[in-house]
Amino acid sequence: MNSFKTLKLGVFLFFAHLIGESPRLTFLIVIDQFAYHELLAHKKFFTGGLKKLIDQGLFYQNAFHAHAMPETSVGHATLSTGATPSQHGYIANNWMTPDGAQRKADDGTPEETVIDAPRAIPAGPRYLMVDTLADQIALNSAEPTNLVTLSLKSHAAIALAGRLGSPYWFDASTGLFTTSLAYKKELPEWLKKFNETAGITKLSEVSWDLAYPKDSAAYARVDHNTYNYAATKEPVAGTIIPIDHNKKLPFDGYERSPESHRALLKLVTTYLDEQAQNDNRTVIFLSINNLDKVGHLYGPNSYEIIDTLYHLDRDLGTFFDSLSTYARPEETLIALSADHGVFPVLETLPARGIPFAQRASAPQLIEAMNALLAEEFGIEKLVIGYISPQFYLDQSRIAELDTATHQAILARLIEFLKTQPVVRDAWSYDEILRIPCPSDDVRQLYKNQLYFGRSGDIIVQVRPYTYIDHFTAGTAHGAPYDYDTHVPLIFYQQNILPAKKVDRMVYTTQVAPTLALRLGVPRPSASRMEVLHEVASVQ
Amino acid sequence: MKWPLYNKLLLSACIGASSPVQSAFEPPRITCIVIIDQGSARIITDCLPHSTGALAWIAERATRYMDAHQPHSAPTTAPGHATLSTGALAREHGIVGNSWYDAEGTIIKAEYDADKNPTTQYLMVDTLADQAALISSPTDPITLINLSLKSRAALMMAGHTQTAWWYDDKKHQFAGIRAVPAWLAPISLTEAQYADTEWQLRYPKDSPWYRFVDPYSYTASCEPSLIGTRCSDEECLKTPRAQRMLINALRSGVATWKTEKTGSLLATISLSGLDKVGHTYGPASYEAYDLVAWLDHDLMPLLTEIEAASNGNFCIVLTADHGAQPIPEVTRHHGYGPAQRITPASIIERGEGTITKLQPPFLYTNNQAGAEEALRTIPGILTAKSTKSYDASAPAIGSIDHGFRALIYPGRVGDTILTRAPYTLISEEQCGTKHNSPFNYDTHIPIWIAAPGNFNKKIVLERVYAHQLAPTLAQLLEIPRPSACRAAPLPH
Repeated sequence: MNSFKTLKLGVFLFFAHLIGESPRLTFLIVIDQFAYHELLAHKKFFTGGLKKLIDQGLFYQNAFHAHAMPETSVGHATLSTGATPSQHGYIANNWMTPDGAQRKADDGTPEETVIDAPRAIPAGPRYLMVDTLADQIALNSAEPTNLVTLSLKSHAAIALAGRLGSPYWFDASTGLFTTSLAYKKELPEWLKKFNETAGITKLSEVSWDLAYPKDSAAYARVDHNTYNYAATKEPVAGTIIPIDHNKKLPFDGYERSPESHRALLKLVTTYLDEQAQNDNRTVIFLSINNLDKVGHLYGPNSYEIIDTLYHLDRDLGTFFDSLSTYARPEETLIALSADHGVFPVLETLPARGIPFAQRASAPQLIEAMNALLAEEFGIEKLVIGYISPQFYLDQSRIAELDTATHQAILARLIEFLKTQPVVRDAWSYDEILRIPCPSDDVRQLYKNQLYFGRSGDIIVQVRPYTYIDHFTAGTAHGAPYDYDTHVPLIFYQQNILPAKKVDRMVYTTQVAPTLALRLGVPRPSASRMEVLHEVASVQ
Repeated sequence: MKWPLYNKLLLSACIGASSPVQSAFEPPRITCIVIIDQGSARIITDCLPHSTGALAWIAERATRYMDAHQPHSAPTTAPGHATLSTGALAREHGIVGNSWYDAEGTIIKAEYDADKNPTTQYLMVDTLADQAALISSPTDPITLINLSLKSRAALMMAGHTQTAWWYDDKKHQFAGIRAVPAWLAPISLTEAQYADTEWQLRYPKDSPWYRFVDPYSYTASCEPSLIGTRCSDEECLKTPRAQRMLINALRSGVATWKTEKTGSLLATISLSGLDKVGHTYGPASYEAYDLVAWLDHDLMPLLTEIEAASNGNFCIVLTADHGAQPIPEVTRHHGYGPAQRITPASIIERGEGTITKLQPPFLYTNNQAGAEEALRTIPGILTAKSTKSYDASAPAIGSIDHGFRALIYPGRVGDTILTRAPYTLISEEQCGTKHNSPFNYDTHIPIWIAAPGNFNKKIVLERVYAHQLAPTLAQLLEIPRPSACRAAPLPH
């Protein structure tokens, strides 16, 4: 044994001494767009895996994302790195670069093409600025570990996996699970075999049966008005969804259906079957995304969202039961959380008692801001984009302005934005970066999401139940309010962790260091938060 | 992957640490938040030892937070209620006072629109009641009732649900934005059971219930004592019979819910009488203590009816929107020399033309720096600092400065914040008292929560805040937290 291995073993034994042996099978499950309020609203009808976790798990009832614009890449990276976006750099799913280009969080280099998916955009982790829990396991685990990250979305998988977490994701253009050359030169045999036997690529339709009869009380919280403002007017829950192989993304309807999470769970068991050949412990990062994909279209008060939750609950129940094949229940640790929540389709809310709910048009605001600058400063089209929660200015033209004019423009735009009914506050990047505030101030959430070169010139806080949007229908998530930041956080390890509800406020940045401690590996480098002692202090 | 032996050994050791599966939890069928307007921690604490009624009943069952405070440094009715209902600070919910000046210098009342119609348009976020309404469904309905003698109190608790009803003493009936429900419509102070009789003290005058009454209060009260008199129309809402009528109104609501509804009931009742007498006679008056005595008596039937209607699965909360400052002349009479009363007019005059308006704690100036300088030498005034300086600072949570910062909502506050010494009252009147200082007598409130199985008899000494109530109840009732709430639930 060389000195490095000896050191790693020493670290492991030290942690193992503190918190007992680490579990043999560990999951971090992230349900994309699973707001805490949705759990509250529908848990009465859960009978499977979600019910098991709620009833028998260590349930943090007040877990929050500590950033102002919760989104998929942001939330996954926060869970995986234990750091805020101001550290890990994933401030959004996409942002604008100083040269005005749109950047996706998971944009890869041109060489990082997606395997077997020629139409997919190259993907990789280059814009994730810190290491993840998966990276730490790969780098520093004294114990041999099977490590994989599985998802329906590339940016979710990459944000969870980091550099070394072996991510694989579903590609809606091909119907295949794949990865990019950033990670592997070719797909592993078990995945090739899964893609062949799953038969997704050959489907011509996918059936979505409701989990309960349509007139059941289980759907009492469906707001039928949501379909008047949905991004897709036709309901898909309870229908047969055709798969048109001539479309650019033939399998987008498939990935919105419960069948997609079933395929994902099947992929997990396929991986576990493969790894059963060795004695290694296993750590799986799993991101389940069909709730988000359908949620944006229909909103949380639709059959689609509510029924997806019921199916997911049942399928997780079956899945959890199957895990005893691979490890003793006492050796299986499951952590479940979400990357963000969601708000109802805003146009439905005035009729439900929230009179101020409204959506503002981002293009119209940009147009108005540019008209104002043209009139008052003689500058045309300086505002070039809005990506929630920030407006971007043309940096090449800002560079031509003197400081006083630049500041005057920012001040005038902020003044204008503050007159908009949806805007609670607005700051320039420099202002929100430097302004001090107490920890209970919502501004801190915006500060936690600043990253130089990625954040916009003007940051906007919208009022509750309002949103600045490029779309005119459907819904989103992107506000510092409870419906978007409050997420489930449950840990379950049979007979090891107590069935208990914890009231105190905790944050998603605490998940990675907590799991690191349980797994006997160093925390991710940029993680600064305290561990969740109820999970970490197993004796 | 196989199961190594050492893990099996570990697990056999760990099983002893396991916990049983949690039993099914049912949220309370009835939740009733009793808000005593101006019900300071002091007066409730004074009365509890002698209670034979509601206070003792709740205390016997409740977790009592002994160091609970309104978070703002100028607590008044509308912000206090909005903070309780939204779980947010005024800098988010927007209700910075009972009234404020807008950017044009027009006085805005928190509960009235420009046409003087009742409104919640200035409440910028949603409340616990709003969230209850949003999650309510045909199969799990939540009935909402929000009653008060004051429109602003009922409206701030109801939020945007239009389930607020208050007493219109001109029309002698309840009113609301939405039509008054049938169970509430007949209730009026003109009913025979509330006949205008003399205000009789509930206990003999020398009862220990009144041991903290200070007769000197009447030397600086705004009106002669009401005890032993019949009230005139405008005074009747100050009396125990108006308080009893309001309680009976909610009893009627509970009874109707019991017979007509399924699901659960979330009710708030804001008892305004104590505030009305407190302003006039001070917190150490017979009127104030006797209203609590009658409250102790008249609330009991409501509590027992809630207990019965909910089959014991209830949540009763007792709290307040703010406290009250002792009348400064009384404090000074007892030897505390710095106690004093300052009129807004005198402050404006000392501003040497720099102050255009004053709405404590905010000054509106035409020369902020000049006003700061000019006000430095007024006895009882400690500082006049720019609102911007508070907004661009990070004061410690719980500090007085944090409490001022928590009030800053753009377009609703002046450019300068005035701080004063304890027992200094800024008031237009030369009598009576107010409650808009950052000091304990104004901020310290009771928060008692009785919910069998969840909040049981217990004393909590940890400092807590009014905006922690909404997330606590949201969790207990299993409804989403109000959107802008960022506070932790109350520890218990």
